[in-house]
Amino acid sequence: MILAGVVGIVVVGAIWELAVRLGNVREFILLPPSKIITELGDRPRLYLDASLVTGRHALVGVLAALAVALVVGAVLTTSRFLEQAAQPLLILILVAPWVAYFTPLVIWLGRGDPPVLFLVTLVSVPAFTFATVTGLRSSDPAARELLASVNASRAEVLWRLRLPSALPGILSTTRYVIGLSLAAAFYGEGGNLATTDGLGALGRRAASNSMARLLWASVFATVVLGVIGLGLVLLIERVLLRWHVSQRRRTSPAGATRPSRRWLP
Amino acid sequence: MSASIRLRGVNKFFGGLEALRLIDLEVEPGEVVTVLGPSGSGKTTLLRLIGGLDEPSSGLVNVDDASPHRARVAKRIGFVPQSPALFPWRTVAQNARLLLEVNRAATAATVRSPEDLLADVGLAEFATAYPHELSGGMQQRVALVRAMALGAPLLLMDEPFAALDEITREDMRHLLARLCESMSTTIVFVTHSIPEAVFLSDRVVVLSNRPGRIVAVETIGLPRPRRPDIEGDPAFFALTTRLRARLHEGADTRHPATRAIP
Repeated sequence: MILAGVVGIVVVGAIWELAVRLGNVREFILLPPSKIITELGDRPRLYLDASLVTGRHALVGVLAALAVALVVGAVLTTSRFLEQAAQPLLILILVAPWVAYFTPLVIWLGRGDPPVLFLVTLVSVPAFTFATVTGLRSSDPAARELLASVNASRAEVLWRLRLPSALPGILSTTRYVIGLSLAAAFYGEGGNLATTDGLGALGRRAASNSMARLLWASVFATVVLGVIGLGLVLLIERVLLRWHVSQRRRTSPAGATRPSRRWLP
Repeated sequence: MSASIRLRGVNKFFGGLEALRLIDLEVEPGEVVTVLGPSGSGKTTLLRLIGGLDEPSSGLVNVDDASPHRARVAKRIGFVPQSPALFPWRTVAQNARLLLEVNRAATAATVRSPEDLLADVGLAEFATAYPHELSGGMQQRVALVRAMALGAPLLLMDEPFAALDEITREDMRHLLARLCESMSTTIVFVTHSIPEAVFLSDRVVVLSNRPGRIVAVETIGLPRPRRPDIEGDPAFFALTTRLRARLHEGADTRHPATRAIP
């Protein structure tokens, strides 16, 4: 999987490099990858520090959004009415332009980490909530009945059955939310919400001063953060979902992964 | 340890649909009773009423002279559903222990550990395997162990072998008979299979087409312990023939408009 990912990056990078060079594309429109890498190599400390800030904003925001969505999702699962009542709000959060949040956030939370973290959390909550509600509802009815036969409490059913059933969907959604959260962190930092320089602040400064290399290098560093985040999610999936069909490498016609261990009946 | 069951004048409606009509049945402690009937005759509904998973529309259902709900709360009922309903993220051993870990306050000291029971059904070496690594028959054995590990005085089994091939199904009923004969548990078993009903049961209750009514109760007088070769016995054959006739009589009680054209 890692080898395939590296091959993909190399091929896309080569096509990008060729397209920019052969097409004589101006630097500010599209910088070739070789120059982006050179820029990153020239000032590694600048990009590393900014990446740590943006990465922290995205990571904390995603974790907070996940925590909120698990609680909200568990509550919404108890009632179809509640679930339907929450839909307009979740859709509103999804479609509202992020810039609309800036002024209220600065007035409410001031500048610094809190408004950026709030923005990242806010925009990540709907996707996690949808995944949580769908996942919690998709547990095996026969398994629910089995737990009911021994009078399992709601909390036991949630912990032992519904949450594990929801895990594949939640982790799959995390892949998408990683990108969303980095975009929100970059945008929030670029919108001058933060006081510490993240990649978004570098990007904003570069755009204001027509510094193509700085702009593209900050965007590239954000992409690298996304790749690292995605890699982490894939690793977590490998560990937590080793039982899930998505993680099985070999399958026999009957669906067993270790045919040698099959023993009939 | 075993439980008694009493049903008196039980009716069950789902909206306008009548599922069960005037069911009267008593099951003695330690008895194995099979409910046999065509599809849609209300066999599973009857089992759910006994297990306290549903309420009758009218009539009385008692387990040990109390409501099934009380038996369920006290974990005095082991349930084996039609599908194994194993939790795919838990290993075989973890699945076998599942019901012991839930509602712990009511968990009784069990006679047999799940690990012992897994060894009994030939799954000791698969304790760390995941359900997807097992065949259908093996998964159903884990489901049996999971229910038996509770040490409950009443076992309810809802067509547990329905999805298995014929050979596996035979093996499973022989295994179940061996396990049950070593316990004194009361068992209510639901099935479509006549040989299964005869092999396992002390009595067989035959239901008619919907609405399910009891059209016959056959006592199976075959000696215990029952071993596979009993299925070649003329008495076994006679009982299956008689039950098949009862089942057809029950099926023929359906409304004329829905009767199959010969």
